[in-house]
Amino acid sequence: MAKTLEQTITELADRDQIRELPQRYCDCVWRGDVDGIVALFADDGVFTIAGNNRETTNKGHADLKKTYAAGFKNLTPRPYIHNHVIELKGDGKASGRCYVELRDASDNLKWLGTGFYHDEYVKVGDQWKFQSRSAQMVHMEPKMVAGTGGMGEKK
Amino acid sequence: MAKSIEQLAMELTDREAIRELPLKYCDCVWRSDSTGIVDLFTDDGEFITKGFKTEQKATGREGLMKLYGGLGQGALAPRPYIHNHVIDLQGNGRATGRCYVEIRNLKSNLEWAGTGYYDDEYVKVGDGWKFKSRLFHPVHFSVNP
Repeated sequence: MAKTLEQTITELADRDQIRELPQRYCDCVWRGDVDGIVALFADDGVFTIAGNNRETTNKGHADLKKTYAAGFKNLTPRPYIHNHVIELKGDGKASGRCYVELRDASDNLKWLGTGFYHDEYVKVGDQWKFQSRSAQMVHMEPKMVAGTGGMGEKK
Repeated sequence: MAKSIEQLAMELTDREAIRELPLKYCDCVWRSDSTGIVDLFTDDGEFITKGFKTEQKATGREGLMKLYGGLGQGALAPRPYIHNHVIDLQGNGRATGRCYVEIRNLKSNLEWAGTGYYDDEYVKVGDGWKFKSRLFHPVHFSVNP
């Protein structure tokens, strides 16, 4: 059955807000805005980073805040996001994947690595948030590999 | 209170038009279309570069035409790619945004020349959106942008 105009507009608005989440995430990373990043996650939001044969997971605002603050002490990544695909699942849930390139502000903006995020999104009130972000690094320069040690212990 | 469908549709239309501004800007820079760039600004629009060796400011169509007419005449013939555009609608035909740019240099085999970001102010003029101002913050450049 064809969607109503109301359904179509609502879906477009949902997609638009979701599309902005990774963009805002990158904007916050560029500015070192830890509180801004954490506010993009649901209260029980989860961030996982995997690569170089290890995986680190953090859950909830307090844990995330600690993790990102520690991460920014070790690394100065400057990300650019690409190729964001979104799948609306209904009932205020969605998933998506997007790709990232990183440069290093503390080393003449040299290319630092690339990878992708598998995201789960959830609608909280009128706002979409990250329910989870799973970062899979595909290639990391040596500094990045060493630096992720500051992102917490394996759980 | 939840937004009405009309409000959602209007905001989507505004966001889409605003999202296109930095894309069109890059497209014009690639094609050295200085008139096209200036048309993206309001008549009293301004472009400011801060944080590099010198601070530059161009205001109004005449000032902007002078600035963009010189594009590519120095060591850098910029070929930009825009990223991470975030937009905040402020109401009453006003909005702000920030977006990040990577620049390659046509004069140097399209080598990566640098990166930075723009703090933008947008304003609705008639049915369309324009740059009220662009404040460019160069973060790293191998040649003078």
